[in-house]
Amino acid sequence: MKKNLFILILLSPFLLFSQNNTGEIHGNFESNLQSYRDDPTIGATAAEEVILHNAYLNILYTKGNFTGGLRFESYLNALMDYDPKYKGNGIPYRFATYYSDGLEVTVGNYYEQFGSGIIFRTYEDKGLGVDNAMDGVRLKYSPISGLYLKSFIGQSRTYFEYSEGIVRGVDAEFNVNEALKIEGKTSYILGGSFVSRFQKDNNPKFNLPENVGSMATRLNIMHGGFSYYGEYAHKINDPIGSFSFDENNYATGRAIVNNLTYSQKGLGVTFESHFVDHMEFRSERAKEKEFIINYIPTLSKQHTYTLLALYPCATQPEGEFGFNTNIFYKIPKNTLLGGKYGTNLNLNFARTNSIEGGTSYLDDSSSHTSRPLKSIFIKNETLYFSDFNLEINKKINKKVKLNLVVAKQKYNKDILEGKTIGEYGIVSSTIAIADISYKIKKGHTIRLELQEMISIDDATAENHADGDWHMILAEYTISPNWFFAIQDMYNYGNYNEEKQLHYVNTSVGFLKGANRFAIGYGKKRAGIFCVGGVCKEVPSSNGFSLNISSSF
Amino acid sequence: MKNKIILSICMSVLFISFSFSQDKTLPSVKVKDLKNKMINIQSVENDGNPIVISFWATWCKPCKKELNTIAEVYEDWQDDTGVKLIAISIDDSRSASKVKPYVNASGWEYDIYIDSNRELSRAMGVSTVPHTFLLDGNGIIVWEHKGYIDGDEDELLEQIEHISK
Amino acid sequence: MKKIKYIIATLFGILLFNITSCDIIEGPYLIDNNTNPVDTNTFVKKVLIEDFTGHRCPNCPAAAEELVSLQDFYGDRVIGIAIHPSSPAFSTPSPLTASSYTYDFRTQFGDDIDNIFELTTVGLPRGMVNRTGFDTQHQLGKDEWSSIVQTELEKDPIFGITLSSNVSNGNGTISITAEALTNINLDKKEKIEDYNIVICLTEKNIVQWQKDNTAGDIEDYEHNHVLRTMINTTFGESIGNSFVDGDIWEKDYSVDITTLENTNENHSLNTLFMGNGNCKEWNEDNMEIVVYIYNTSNYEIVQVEEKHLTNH
Repeated sequence: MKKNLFILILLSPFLLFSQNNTGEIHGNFESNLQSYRDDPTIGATAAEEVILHNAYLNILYTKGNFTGGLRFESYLNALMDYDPKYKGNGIPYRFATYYSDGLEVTVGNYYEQFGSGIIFRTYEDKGLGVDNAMDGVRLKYSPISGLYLKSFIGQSRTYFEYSEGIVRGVDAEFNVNEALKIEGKTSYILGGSFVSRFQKDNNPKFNLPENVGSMATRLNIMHGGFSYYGEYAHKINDPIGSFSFDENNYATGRAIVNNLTYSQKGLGVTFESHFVDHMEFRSERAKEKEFIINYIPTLSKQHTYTLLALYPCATQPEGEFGFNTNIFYKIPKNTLLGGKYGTNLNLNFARTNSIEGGTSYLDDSSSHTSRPLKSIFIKNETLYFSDFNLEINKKINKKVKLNLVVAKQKYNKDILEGKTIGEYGIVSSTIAIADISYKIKKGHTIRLELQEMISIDDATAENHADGDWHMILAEYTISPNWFFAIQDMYNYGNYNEEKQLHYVNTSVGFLKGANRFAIGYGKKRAGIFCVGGVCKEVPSSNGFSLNISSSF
Repeated sequence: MKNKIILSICMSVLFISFSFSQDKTLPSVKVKDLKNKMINIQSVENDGNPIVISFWATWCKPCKKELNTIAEVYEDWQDDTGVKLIAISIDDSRSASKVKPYVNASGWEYDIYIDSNRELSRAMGVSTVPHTFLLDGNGIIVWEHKGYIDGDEDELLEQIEHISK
Repeated sequence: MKKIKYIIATLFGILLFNITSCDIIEGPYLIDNNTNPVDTNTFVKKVLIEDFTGHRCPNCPAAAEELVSLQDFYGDRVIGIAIHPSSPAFSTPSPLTASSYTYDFRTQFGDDIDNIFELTTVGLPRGMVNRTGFDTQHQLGKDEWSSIVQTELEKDPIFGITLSSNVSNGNGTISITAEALTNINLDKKEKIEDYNIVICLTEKNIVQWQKDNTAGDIEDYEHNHVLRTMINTTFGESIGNSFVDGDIWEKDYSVDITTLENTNENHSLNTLFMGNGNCKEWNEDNMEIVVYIYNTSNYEIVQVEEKHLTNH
């Protein structure tokens, strides 16, 4: 009842101002419906409810310096690739914000990120089923130009509940050039943040910290085409509160992020690296993914072609060293290789591995072994993921566009999917993709994607990864309203002959203005989707889907 | 009981929202430019000429296709209609550092901003990218479009020409 | 210029203040005391952990370890049942011709419980502590068990359970007495709630295969607290909803191990269940009786007791 009162108070401005016809109301709506039927060949199971449905409605009201909003969420019941703890209807997200003289006050729910997020980031990603919105109070204040202060206190959302732990934080960002009115070739931005969690120690066996702090400092320097971003984070002892002796790790967590980029017209180069040791930060002690409130960016290219993303990299916040480098180059127009329109190249190499000596570990019987930052030079550490790929994007003539990708990936399935060490070993894949689009006439385009993956792993006979795949996708689009697509994934090289299956999918979509409708039918394979250190396993399914999204 | 209350609140809000028929404008949300300077998106302007706001990401193929296609004809569009294109990247900290190198390498002449924790996208009801808005000279959103399929740039141009007359 | 310095100084002041409020624990980490009451004449509150596990579930041994740690600390106030629910990935047995994982730990009873509480749908290992938090917060990861155990153990017991058994050579009687330790009246307007009593048999020291995250495939893993059967159905029988302090409920149950074993085998041989019938060889000397009383409206277990099945 308390919650409902709160919502009514939040909504009161809507009711008051609706008379005067001032202010603005916007929002968007999304509905995802899927039917499930049994298909033993691919391991898909029918839903008892036959159809499952997720829906969201966001409403925002703005008048002058005031904004209020809420989100209605409905899971009746949640789609199979969602956590079943999303259950029923509710308004888990509602807030009110006002702004005056440089001070912004938010009460209710909010999303926030400090620096690159390595000590604190709350966000929503409906595709992943992640929503760890905070509920509490947030202040943002800019006392002078160039100085930005933020502070918050709250509890993080876990499905339709909130965490037991209370999280507080402050962040300051200082843009030197803006504040001191320096117009120079070089610019500096400094930042610092501190986040702390309080949770009562209810464990009579272990002495647990009730206030766990995490702090980070950051620096951004830009000079001409160069840009450097560095961030260092430090977290004090944060054991998970288990009763089991070797599960409570009292070690200090730390992370270092370094990004260096250079760009000029026609050329861009990036080099990013990070070192992470025992840095998972949660709003409750228990090691459950829904409590995670920090985000350590994954060091690999975010692929969208299906076979390139079949074995995705995910950050291992408990211990990882990695780097990711990109070269973007446009071969100029009217050259031998550039042709009439120029050719875009993107060369990418990413690799992550374990840190030397393993994650820092400390308990009563073993001394503190937090390792120095030696892992920058890769020696014998366990490989987690590597990806070497080249993408060539070329417009051949007015009608034909071509995109080619070749990639070589190595994927440590045991580590990245939490399997038993040695069960699957490393999956090595070579992938080639050709994506051709041909403009038939004005507004009508046909696009063909051909993908091929050759994959081996060093598992024993019993457990193998999927082996080789073909994929073909044909898409016909009529601008501005229609698209038709059919795709077939064929696991022709599966070690188990019974699993050498086709996964055929068709979809039709209609887009008009701010509305989008799509209908799909077919089989989906079981897979794994990740963002940051958060992964979601998706079961295989067979059925019909209907997606509607619209905004107003 | 609780559900009934929620439902009735939603219904009433929906009803109120439909009774509003005023114009849609840009919200007051801060984004960062490529120099990591904070800018309030409301402060963008184009001397009374139309503005296109396009949400994109470095990992989004149709977005890049749309913006690369427009890049080829952008000069002509500017000469003919005075339009300005603002591309807002929703890349999070995983890929935000690639935005500037990618933009420069591709030779885009757009104004680029980064909305790294999706505050602006949420405020504008952008759930997926690409999502394109067209603002007239008074800053009112007159047209929007979700997704990009080849040829959509022609419709966008028609809409721009329609309001720039 | 001065203003900026002032602001930055204040800011760092705030930061420093916050940092000093951090609890850095230098050790010792273990609290050296034992809070268990040892007076055995009066009834104490006990707590039941139902550990949902599977022999092919590589993360499950860590959860079993947590249960052992809790029992080491709290002694017999923490009682465990290991339930192996049907899960294609984690618990279906291999065909009898295979060399490993051929034993079928599953039971109809475990699956009935999982159907209500849906622990397999959120992934194993998961557990319930006295089934608290139904139906949104009862599916607990192992790290969440300890704080709920502590909270539960701080409550006063409302029932005391006394068990005795004369089972030997596969036959005999279990006698159960439940005593109300306070005045209890659950009879609310419109809705009558009940307390149900449930009788389980578990077995320890079953040496079989287990998959483990670090050790790989362990051939001689010791499975403990394995749920074998439930004597008065999965959800038990009512003992009433209204008691005066000192009220006593009593009942005897006759037990025939062979019949119970056969019920399980019939279930395991059911093709829908994907079993292989290899679920026998019960050792009555390693079996425990676990009896609990729960509130039917919210499933919460209010008291639990454990005793060896035989006197050996």
